[in-house]
Amino acid sequence: MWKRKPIEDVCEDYALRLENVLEDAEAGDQVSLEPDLRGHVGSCDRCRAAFEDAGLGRTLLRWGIAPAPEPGFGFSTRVLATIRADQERRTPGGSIFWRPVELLAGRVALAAATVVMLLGFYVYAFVVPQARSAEFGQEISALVPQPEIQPAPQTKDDVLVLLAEHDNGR
Amino acid sequence: MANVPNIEVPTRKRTEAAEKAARDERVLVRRAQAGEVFAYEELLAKHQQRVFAVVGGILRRGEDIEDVAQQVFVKAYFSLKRFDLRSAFGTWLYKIAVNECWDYLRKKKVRRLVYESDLSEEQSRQMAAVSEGVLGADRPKEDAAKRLEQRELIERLLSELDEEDRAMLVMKEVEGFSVEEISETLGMNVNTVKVRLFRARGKLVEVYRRRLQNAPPRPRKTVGAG
Repeated sequence: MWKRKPIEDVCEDYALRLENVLEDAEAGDQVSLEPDLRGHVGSCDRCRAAFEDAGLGRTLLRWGIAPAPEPGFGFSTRVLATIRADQERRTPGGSIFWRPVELLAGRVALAAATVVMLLGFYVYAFVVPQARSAEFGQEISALVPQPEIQPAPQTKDDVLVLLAEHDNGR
Repeated sequence: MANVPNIEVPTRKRTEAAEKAARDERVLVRRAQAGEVFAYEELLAKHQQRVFAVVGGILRRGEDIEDVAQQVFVKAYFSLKRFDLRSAFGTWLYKIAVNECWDYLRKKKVRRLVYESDLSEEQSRQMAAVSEGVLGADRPKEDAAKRLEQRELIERLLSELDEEDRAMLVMKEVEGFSVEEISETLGMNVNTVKVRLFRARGKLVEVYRRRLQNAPPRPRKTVGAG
């Protein structure tokens, strides 16, 4: 079964069409109400009253309401001055001279911190392990007795003595 | 086939002119976004009257209008980098104006003023004279003071309407905004704006009639005997 639209929704549809009629009349176009629209206005008190009153309401407004005032003299200047003041308030320590110096100092500090960090990494990764391995070598040699280094034989007799000692050790 | 007059040329010229104006405005906006204050100053000069119209339509109090309009332009300047140029700059600016007005009214906690049977006899006469002055075939030369008083009375009628209805009526009937501009500014569908305008005019007249009915009756003049 068809569901009937609530009367308010029906009137809303007609209100839109009636407003369009008023707009067309305003534009100087020759307008006439379509039959179904005329029929609704004839039967609906609410829409009929609104349509009759629409013209009076429009006239009351145009006759009785003054347009908004013009911007006062110097309005643009005041706006730009407010913008400048707000900008300075938003910038901490906002001196025109020191601001670039602060920015530069910030960047230099950042670069220096990066360099220090890289150096630290290099030292930790490469220099320290080498130093540690040198120390470790010295510790090992302290623990392990180094064999006595014999002087090189000078004569044939030295060679024979050396060989004899070697044979005894076998 | 009958010769059909070419009626498209004026329309096309208007469209081309409108497109050129839109392009020029986009260039100005980009320059302002890049930090050029002179570009923003040009935008300000171009739109300040309409911003006043929007703010005036909602607030209706002269001393507040310039303050709020100034806030609108300052806020727009600091929000400019977030504007993506998808809509016209004017539309974006008027939306800021509307939001600033609602914030201002909320802060001031403005309540709708209801004038119930507050009209004096003189005021009720003025009220009745409004429609005569407006609709009468012969409009006598109006006294400026009387006209001002009548305008104040109509402002009081307007103050009884909902804020959005009031804004729409003033923007449409007094400031000359189109329905499309009003719908973009207030963030409503075009058809919704049309229906609300239609209803709001009716409400205004309803309030007007109620005031006339509630006005104190005129005292009868007694004529001395003899």
